Amino acid sequence: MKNSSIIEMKTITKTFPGVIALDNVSLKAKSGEIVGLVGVNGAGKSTLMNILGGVYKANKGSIFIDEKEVEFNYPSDATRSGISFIHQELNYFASQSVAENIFMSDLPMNKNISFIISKSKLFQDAQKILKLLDSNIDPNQAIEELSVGEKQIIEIARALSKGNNIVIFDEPSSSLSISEKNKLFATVNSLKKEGKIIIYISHFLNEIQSLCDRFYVLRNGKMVGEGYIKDSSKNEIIKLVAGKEVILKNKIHLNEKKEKFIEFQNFSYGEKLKDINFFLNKGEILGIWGLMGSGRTELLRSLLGLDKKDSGEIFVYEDQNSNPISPKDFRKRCGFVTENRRVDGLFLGESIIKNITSSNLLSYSEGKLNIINTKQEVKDAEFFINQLAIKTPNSFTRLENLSGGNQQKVIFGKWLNKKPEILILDEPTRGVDVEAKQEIASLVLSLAREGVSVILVSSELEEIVNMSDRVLVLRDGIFCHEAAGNLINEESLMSISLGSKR
Amino acid sequence: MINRLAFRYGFYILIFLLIIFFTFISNGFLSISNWTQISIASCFLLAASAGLTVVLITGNIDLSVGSIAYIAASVAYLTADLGPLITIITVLFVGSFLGLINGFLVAYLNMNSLLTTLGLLIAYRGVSLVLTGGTMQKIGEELANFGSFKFFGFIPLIFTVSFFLMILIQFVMKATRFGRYCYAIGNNEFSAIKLGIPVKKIKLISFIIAGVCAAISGLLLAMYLGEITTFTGRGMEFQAVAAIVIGGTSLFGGRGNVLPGTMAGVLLLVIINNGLGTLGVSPYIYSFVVGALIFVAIYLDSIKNRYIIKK
Amino acid sequence: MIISNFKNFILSNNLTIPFSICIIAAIIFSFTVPNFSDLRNILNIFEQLGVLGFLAIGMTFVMISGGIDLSSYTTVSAAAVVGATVMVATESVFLGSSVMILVGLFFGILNGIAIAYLKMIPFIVTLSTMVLAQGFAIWFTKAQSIYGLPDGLIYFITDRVFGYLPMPAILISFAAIISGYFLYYTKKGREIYLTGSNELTAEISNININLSKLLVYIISGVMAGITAIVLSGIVETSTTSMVRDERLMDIIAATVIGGASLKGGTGSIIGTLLGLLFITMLGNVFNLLGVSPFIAIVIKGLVLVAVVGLDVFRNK
Repeated sequence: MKNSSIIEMKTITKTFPGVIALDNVSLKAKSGEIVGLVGVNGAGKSTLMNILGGVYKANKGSIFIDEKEVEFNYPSDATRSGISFIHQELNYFASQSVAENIFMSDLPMNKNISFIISKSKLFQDAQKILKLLDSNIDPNQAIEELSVGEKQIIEIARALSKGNNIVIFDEPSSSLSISEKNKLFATVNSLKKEGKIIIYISHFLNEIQSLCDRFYVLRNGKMVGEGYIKDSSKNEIIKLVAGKEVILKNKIHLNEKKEKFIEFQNFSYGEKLKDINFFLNKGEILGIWGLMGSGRTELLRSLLGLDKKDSGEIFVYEDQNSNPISPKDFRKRCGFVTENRRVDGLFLGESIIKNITSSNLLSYSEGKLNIINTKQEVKDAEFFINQLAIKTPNSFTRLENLSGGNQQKVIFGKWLNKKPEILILDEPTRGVDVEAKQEIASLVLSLAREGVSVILVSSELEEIVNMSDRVLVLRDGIFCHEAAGNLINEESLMSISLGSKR
Repeated sequence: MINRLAFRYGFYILIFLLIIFFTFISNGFLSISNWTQISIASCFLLAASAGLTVVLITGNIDLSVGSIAYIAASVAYLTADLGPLITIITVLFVGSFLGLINGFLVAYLNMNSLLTTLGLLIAYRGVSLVLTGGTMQKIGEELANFGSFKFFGFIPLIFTVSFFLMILIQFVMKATRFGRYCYAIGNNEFSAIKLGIPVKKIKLISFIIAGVCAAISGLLLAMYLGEITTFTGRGMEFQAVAAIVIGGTSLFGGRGNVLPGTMAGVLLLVIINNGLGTLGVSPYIYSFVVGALIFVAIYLDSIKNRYIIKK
Repeated sequence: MIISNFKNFILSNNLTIPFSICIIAAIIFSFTVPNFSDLRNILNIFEQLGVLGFLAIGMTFVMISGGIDLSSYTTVSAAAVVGATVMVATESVFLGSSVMILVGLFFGILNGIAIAYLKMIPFIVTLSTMVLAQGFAIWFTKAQSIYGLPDGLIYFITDRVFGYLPMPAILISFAAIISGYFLYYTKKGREIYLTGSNELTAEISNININLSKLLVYIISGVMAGITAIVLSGIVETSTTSMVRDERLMDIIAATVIGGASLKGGTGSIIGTLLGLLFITMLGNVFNLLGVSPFIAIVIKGLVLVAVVGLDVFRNK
């Protein structure tokens, strides 16, 4: 095992259509060192690591391993150069044993009969590696019986078995229990002792502080800071992550009326949501801030009745009375811009017209046979294309041919077409170019001014701070903090969700 | 966890109970001659299902196995005068060739295995009809004699062939790299590709195996009957899929085995048919029962799958 | 003006492929195959279109919604034998026909509930229903065919309107117009398309995807019932294998040629019928040329494989 290796990413720039994901980013890591990579979602951490992992190719810049330049066209190139990626979503073979999962690409064969797998050697080799990781997991156990943390250990074991010297951890602790987290940290440390190069991506500053030797901070695709952990205070790092350029003056929206509109009580779902209670005022923008794994998507889907929940009731306030309302009826009054438009927000193969009218087909239906008034559809689509400045040759263009920002605008058009009283937005500007981001932001603000009540869920701090009247911070399935009006600012929000007040 | 064990052993218990049930209900169920019948009735399905299990484990399906069996039987007819050895070799060759075609289309051209093999089911059947002129044909006498040969007077040769075929395939799936790769691909094809496993090649080989096994099945049937009819292999693919899924292999891939799984599934179907026969029940009920059984088996499979995804 | 409207119609509805294939094939065949362009032969082709057409329409609905129905062709047999028994016993064409439709409806509901509400996989469910329906037909009749159907049915189905046009072709035209209208212009039709295009998005858009899915399988089942009526009239008996296995390939191939995809969200009634026309012409030509029916089967199977390949290629 090499004891002094260096990996360097030099001046990496990566662009996607309309978006600069990484701008001139450089990073260096060497043997026996744990380098932390910090930043909010969308800052570019995953993109940078995906370039290192051979999933993407940088537009500019290069990668050096031990002073030699390397080029990765496929993930297998990166693997062959000694890079192992431990993803957040585990990659394993469910019906196989622990040992088989570790050695699947390299199963040991019987000495005498070369086409038969040697079960004893498989067992021994697996045990050897697991011992290195200080684990008692039985190599013959079925992997699907393991907990998430244990499965993660097996993935680390697989990386070790290949003798890979560079190990990248991508948000590894999100789904782990406390004891599993400690196990993980011990494992990472033992890898460090063996002289591996370790890059550790996390938004939990506590972990970064206790595990890493050095750190890098990414924000909006730029490397805005780096340093030694022992030389930096937590606050300094938070400042770098959050950024000081936020101008509070951008907040042109302040909802003066505090008229309660909807109340949500006792929402729970297993470990993901633990007794959520909150309310929404009319015409306000309620920001829900939380990082990945905090339970945001589960919350929204539970509120809308799209997923099962253990408990939870919704009440509407009308004329001083609070009446219970079923999730189905609640959903009828809402618009829901989902987190992942390609998955469940768009009809990619359909035209703009069909997308815009899809949430509201009843209003285009005439007569007992519910015949669709296609002329009106076209008219309304063109109205929204105009109003939302959707860039497209015409209204018959299919969604798959539009850019991300324009697709997102079509989705907004779809919900606005329904004139919802409540608009629920989940990462509304993700994957959207800067110009469209602004347009969407002002759209949301003007809607609120007109009386639409908005729930804005986002992991982009700037967005939340600029637009919200009130902010609830979601962490580990509970609302741990609330801030309103002028008390909302990035640093306090960031430090709360990063867990510094734990 | 207990539920999972119940799933796994449930069918063996079911078979056991069925055997007891039929033993009490009808005379002669436990007789040697009846069990010889059962072993004969099951061996054709056993052979074809063994190979098909491999394809299913990789997450694909091959609906053309019945027609491949028919082609194999037709080949037996065509080579009737050339001696049993030539016949056997040709049959094996034809089976692997057809499997190669199937595998190439699915693995290398990325075509949907379901519809493609459905179309090939028809095409291959047409080829057999051309080869046999669409009527009954006889096969070579020597082979026919082998077809009715029984060791010690009650263990049919054809059953032993099928049984050994099952053991061979189970061995390959359990003990070789190829077998592990099949499970890996069925579980998580994306990861398998990332790990550098030659996914396309493995899938191709799985189809070739299914083709050869189907061909053997067709040959055995021809040997037993001494002739081939237009009913050879007809609908066998659906029975095979039923048996395989009942036996614990998931349609979603990555799980299941030939022994004891698929064998148990085949036995279940055959015992039910045989038992119903000794009861004097109308033979038409059988396909009814198979249809219902597939339904139940698939329903349980989809529940199992959702349970696994949830974890 | 008419020509440009027609051209627009073809282009905007993705009908270029099926339309061109039909025209080209028709031209080639009329020149190379004797008796192809005889009036009698053409009417024959359209009569056949009127038989399989209903199943093809049903399959179109199902595939647009993202599913598949392997059972409709055996459901025809199940419906035919039960309905025919009633028809013979009561001498009432009306009663018997209604029973045929009801049986088709039954299997359609069976499929629909399993797929839409029990969330089972369409291929497998309809595979088992296919076996069930076939088995049921065999059991019900003890493998005997049913003869002696009332003359009224036979006269009606084999009637030639205005002396020329085969009744099945007339019937299928009506069915095509009604189902096409339903699919393209009504809210439920639009919902079926959207359910097939992206089920998750449709759900979030407050479209009742379960109902859409149930509906398409019911339609497919009813279509099978109608086919039973038409076929029984033509062959004057009801048997346990009214529609041969190869026809399933024809139907699927027709929908895919017509623009439908296994993934759902696309497809059209006109496209499917054009696709079916092509396939029917192909079979007709085999007949006229005296091609062995077995070779015809081989070619049909290969056509389906090619069509699946076309679908893959189209979606790349």
